[in-house]
Amino acid sequence: MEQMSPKERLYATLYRQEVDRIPVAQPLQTGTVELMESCGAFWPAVHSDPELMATLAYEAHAKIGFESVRVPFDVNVESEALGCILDYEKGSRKGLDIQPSVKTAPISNLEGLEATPDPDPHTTGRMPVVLEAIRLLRKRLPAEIPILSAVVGPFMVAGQIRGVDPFMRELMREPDFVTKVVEKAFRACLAYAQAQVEAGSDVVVIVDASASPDLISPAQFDAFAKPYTKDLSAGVSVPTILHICGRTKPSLAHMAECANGVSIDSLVPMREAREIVGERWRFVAT
Amino acid sequence: MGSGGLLQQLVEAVVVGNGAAAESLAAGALAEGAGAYQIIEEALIPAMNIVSGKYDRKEYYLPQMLISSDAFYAAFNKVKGGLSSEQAKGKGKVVIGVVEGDIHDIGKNLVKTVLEANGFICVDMGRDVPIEDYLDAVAEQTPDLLMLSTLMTPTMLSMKRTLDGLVEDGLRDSVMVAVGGGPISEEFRKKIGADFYGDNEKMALAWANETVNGKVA
Repeated sequence: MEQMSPKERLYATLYRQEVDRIPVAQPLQTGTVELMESCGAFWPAVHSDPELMATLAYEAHAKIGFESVRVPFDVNVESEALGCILDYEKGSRKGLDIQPSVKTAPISNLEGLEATPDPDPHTTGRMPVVLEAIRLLRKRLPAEIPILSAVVGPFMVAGQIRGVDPFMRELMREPDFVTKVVEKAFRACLAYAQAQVEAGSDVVVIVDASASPDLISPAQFDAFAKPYTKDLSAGVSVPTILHICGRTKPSLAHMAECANGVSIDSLVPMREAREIVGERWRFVAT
Repeated sequence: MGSGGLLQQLVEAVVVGNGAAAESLAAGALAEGAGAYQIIEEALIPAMNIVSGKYDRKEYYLPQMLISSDAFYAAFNKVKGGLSSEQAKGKGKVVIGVVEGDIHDIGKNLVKTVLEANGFICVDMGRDVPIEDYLDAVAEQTPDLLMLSTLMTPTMLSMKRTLDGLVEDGLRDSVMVAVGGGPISEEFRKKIGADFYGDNEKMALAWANETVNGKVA
């Protein structure tokens, strides 16, 4: 028999307490074309309009029955606030089914990095759009349905604002510069994540796609990604889930140290993940 | 020092990703009388095979792979002008790119580097390439092989459309087509009518070698 509300169940899972059953919360974005059609809120307009963003997020709860909602629907809110120019109309359907991506990265050297202002989450770029969408959802949703909000991990944001190609090379050639770029990204991510919580987010999902062992070595993850992700997670007052794409098996134990929960994709068999994370096991979603 | 010692140092420079050293060692080997073809055969190909092996064994990750590729190209560009016109044609011509809508080009770049290191001439279309551009490239460049990559599920459709476009334009029989990338499978390859599916750069190279050898025979 069900005794817990969806939010209690998710929190209990992330804090490793007893649950009455497995929570059906979705830490990743839920923007399918079918949901856009059923609620009338379409990409790419959704990305820049709090009303549309809240409407599409709500639809995943209302239509699919996820016991959660999740905003935003792309991974470039932070990088855009730090100066990236985005392309919102990718592909033949003009951004309807493809997330916005970085057209030009703003940082090319240390001077440029130092000249870049730290974003204010309440005024810079689309950060205020996401915050307002969280507030709207908080008003519209039953209190027991958790709001999950995503913040991109500092390592991934650093790659976005420097450009992934040069960034990956500088990881080898100019590690001090890389550290400074990640630190810059970290400050932006932390302020933004804290503002999400203030706006009403119940769980912060840290998405760090480029910190995948498909790309960087475990040693590089330890040096350039993990400390910042860990601090970001510790810097917010709600539980966190860390999502990293790809074949994350080699990093799972380290990922588990960074957040309350770990999210993996279908390339990692659940049983193997559980064996690795073991006692530190908290929450795994695919 | 003879060119043999320089070639050994060149192998090491590429493996550790020292581009400046690779370039000057390649120049030094040329000055010592080594031929362009010899430098490629005896230093650059073995070096990239070592790098590719380290990558497969997870001793190297993308950042190490990238700086080794840079060092390879620094040396390769220094010597390739010295290839005879017959040698410069390489083993075969490959048009390679990431399909429309997808900007993930890491896997594609890896395959391209390994193919070039092994004597294929690659026409790199880049990433997020419109279908028409592939059709034009196949018509104009008359490659032996076309290699398409995508990392994302939604853009698998672009891959199918590119194959459909080749059929519609009557180009399909002129070129062998390989597909690859995270969500791609043998089943999907069959469904869209491509000739080969590969999961990594070694499989791509083996297929490319077999295919052009088969053509010659």
